[in-house]
Amino acid sequence: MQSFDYSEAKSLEEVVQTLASGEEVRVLAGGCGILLLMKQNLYFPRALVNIKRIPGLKYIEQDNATVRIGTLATHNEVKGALLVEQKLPLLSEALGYVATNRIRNMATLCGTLAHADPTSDAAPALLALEARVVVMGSQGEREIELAAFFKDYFETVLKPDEVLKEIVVPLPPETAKGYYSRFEVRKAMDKAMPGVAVLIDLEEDKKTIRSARIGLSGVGNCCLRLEAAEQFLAGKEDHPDIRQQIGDIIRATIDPVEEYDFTVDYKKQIAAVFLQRVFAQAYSRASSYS
Amino acid sequence: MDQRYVELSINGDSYRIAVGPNEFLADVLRSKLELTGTKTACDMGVCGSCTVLLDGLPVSSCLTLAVDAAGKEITTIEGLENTAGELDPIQASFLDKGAVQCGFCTAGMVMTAKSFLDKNPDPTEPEIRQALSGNICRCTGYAKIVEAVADAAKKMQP
Repeated sequence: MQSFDYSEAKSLEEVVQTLASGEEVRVLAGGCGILLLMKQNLYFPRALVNIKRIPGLKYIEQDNATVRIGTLATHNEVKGALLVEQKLPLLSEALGYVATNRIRNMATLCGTLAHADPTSDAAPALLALEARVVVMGSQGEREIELAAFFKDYFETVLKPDEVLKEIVVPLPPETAKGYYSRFEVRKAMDKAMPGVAVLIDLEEDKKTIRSARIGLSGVGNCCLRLEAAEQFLAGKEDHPDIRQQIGDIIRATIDPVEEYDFTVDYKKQIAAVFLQRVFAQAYSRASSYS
Repeated sequence: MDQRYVELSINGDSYRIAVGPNEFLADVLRSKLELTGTKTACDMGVCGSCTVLLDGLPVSSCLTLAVDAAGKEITTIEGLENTAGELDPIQASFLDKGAVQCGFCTAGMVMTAKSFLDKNPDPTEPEIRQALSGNICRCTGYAKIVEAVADAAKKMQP
């Protein structure tokens, strides 16, 4: 493979210093994104700074009304954590779809967000859960809504001297239930086109939607929240007309590109179908919760 | 590119070798340590033929830097047979059930099955199929491989 300068950092502060020291220095964690790009000669960073030897960054812990996920926690560590299974089952469910078991053992959840693959399985669930990321840079720390973190195709708002420190997921109300599904043509190593996560909270009557959160991937250059449909659903009950209308909203909002055998119209149609199905499942989970 | 010495613990043996930071574990195993049981096929982390266990967990060794494997217990297909030279029950079942054709995926299949059966010693067929879903075989159609894993699980029942 191409050569590069290599260093192992002992703390995140050291990572920030290294990142700020020159151009085209990149963070290496799980490596499943960046090493693959480098192996295929799609990307040529000058240097990699390996953060995997930094102790204490694998935490998955509750902090008041949030769950904090450290930057080195792998997909499988997050997916299998009791806290996540119990309090954020939507995230656990979505992570089960990611690549293969091997990659889930290697790739970190923070890394997959920094990689910003528009066909991510993790991002829709985290978007629906209104997660935020904490990044560290020369100017200190800042917290960014995940929906504002993704900028464009494989691009984020991370500055060159910034590194992801953790993901902060607010605990949803106990009555809120979610569902994740995606269009798939095979059982492993598939891309979410689309991936849809919906989190629904119902009023006491178990019918009226108090709040709906929708995260999408594989529908354009970025993973995104479908706020138009979220607002539309608030205060409504499940009904075939409602499902029809959120299908119309997603068709009008997303901007997919034609690729492989999938035309733009086809992708819009399949996104609408999946949103309707996932909404129905999430709604039924929320209404049957007691 | 600058070489550095790393200490790799493979199948219980310790190896001190010089590697560049851009060398992958799969290539180091095969070219520098002559542990050629591990195969590389897609070389992109997709097909599973390079599967090895790192601290008991299956990973793609073609996407794992050798420098990153230092300090971890690496298990390859060569590490499965016991000291008397007897095959692991999973290897034996692959032979018994004819779960091998060209053999390129086999080491990865066996290593994946190994980590799976360690966690789930009495699996159902759908569970086996799910566990093997990330390993690609272009010859067998998978039926014999699934049979072999089920057979191995049965043999290893206490």
